[in-house]
Amino acid sequence: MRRYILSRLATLLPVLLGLSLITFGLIALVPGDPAEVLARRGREVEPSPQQIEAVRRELGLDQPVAIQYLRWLGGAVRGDLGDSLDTGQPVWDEIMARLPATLELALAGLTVGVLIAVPIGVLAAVWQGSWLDQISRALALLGAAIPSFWLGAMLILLFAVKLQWLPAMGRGSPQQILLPALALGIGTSAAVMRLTRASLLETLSEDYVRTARAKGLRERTVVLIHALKPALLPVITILGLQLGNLLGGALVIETIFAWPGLGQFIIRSILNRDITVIQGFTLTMGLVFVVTNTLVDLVYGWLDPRIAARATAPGGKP
Amino acid sequence: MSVADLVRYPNGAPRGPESEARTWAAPRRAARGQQLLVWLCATVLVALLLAAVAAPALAPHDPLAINLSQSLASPSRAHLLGTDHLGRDLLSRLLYAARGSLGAALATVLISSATGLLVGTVAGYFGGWVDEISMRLVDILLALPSFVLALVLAGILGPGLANVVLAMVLVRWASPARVARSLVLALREQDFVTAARAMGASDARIMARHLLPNVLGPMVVLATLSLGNTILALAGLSFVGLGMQIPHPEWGAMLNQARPFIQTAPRLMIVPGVAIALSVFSANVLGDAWRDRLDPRHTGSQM
Repeated sequence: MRRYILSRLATLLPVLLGLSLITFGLIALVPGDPAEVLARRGREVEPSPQQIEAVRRELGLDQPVAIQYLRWLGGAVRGDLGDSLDTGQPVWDEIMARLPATLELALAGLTVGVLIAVPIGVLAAVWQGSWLDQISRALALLGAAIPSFWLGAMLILLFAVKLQWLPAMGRGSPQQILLPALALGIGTSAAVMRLTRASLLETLSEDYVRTARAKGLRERTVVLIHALKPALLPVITILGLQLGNLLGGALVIETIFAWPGLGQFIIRSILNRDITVIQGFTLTMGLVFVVTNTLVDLVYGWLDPRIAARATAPGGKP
Repeated sequence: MSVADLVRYPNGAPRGPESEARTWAAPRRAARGQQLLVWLCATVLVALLLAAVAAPALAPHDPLAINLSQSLASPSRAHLLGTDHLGRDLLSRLLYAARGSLGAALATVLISSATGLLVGTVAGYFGGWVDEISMRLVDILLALPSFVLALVLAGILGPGLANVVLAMVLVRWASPARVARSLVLALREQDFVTAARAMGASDARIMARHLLPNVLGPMVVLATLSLGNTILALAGLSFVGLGMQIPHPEWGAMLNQARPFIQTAPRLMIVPGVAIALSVFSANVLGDAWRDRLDPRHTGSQM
């Protein structure tokens, strides 16, 4: 197990290095001379060559690229992501002030998704081929096809505008998170539902399930205790990967529900080409995603020791 | 890993003991319903594509013609779906928008698949440092949240449909590259490749004439499977203001512009969303069906 943890953490290093390189390299994609673009910001008149040079020096853009990268990385490791070009505030503070709201929304969406998906997936597997199975397939197809931000707008239209049951905007009360979480969760539930079903069908055909049945256990006990627990293992992996979609979806949905997370802030920064904020945001989001998935893998190896054993066995793939 | 598994799990099979049920046959009635659904979706997708191509002929009005006296008009004989806040005909805008939305999605899928195919084939065939470097890059890209990355790249490249497509391609070539590489790795050792080499065929010729044709089939299925997600991601990027710029119509951008009128004219919000969902739904069903045909063992669908 220790070897598994170490080997999994070792694969983390190149990914983090790559993330930092991509993030740092973003500035190279800014069309034109970054120093000139940046010097033009907030100025009514064309910046003079001296002003452009001043910006270049200030940001260290006159240094060799390797030096620039190391300097940036050194700052990033210490939580110094530079200052926002728009607001002048430290990027770290700007992001940390909003990240919790976005994570809260993404996790709420994940919870809703699992709460919808697992029961339906279980029933669809138990009554395989029944009308309920067919409906679950239709739901999964629909859930995967509907843009979550549009679903959010439709939920507002129905529950906030027409029925006036729930608030359409803001954050604070449990009622306020319900609609955005639902909009996010339904898309997530599509993938989770089908995987739960497929995975449970598989474990239901295992020998130990037959043994449990042969012992005369109630069907409910067999399904929920003997079959479902191992069936949910692959589902956990999918949840980690779904987090990427959830974070992206949350950013867009926040703009609809006026949710005070990173969404509106980052979209404004992107449209304004606030490059330091964009870099900080990319790094943060990448870190959240990569670290979560590493944790999911570790939990997975802990729940199912066969995985860890296979991963560290000679010739095994991590 | 079989070819079908590669297509199904381009990023590696989910870990776990045989994580998928593959031995069940749907009841015949359900199978027939499925066939019907596949045909229906194929028809819908073709119809949408034709509508996009033939938009100038089909659209009853100029999609950009502003007529403030007709602002937010309800559906009528002159305007079958009504008009938007600037009095522009919604149906005409919807039709023209299909060009941007579907065209950009197809372009993204085509270019990223072709890039992935090229990189994966070269990496798998030559191995060595080419393989090492490109696959490390693939690993990194696949380990990062793709929509967030595309959002950031598109933002930095600047608004505009071409930039959004470029941003999406930069993120999305990784998955097809890995599949192509795995396929080529398996093919490389086959007798017909050895024979070609013995006959003095060049590396380029072996790749182009012997490897590519064999890799193409699964790659097309993979591309079809990714079309739906691509349409969704593009709609999301347009919705936040990247992608097609005003006044030109695009489904995601139309949704964005409809937001202030969600109470007064909800159809402005409903109609483009239905168009998106319909095309994604159809593309997903077709992709599933195609994959199932590739490997008849998989009768059921994951999604």
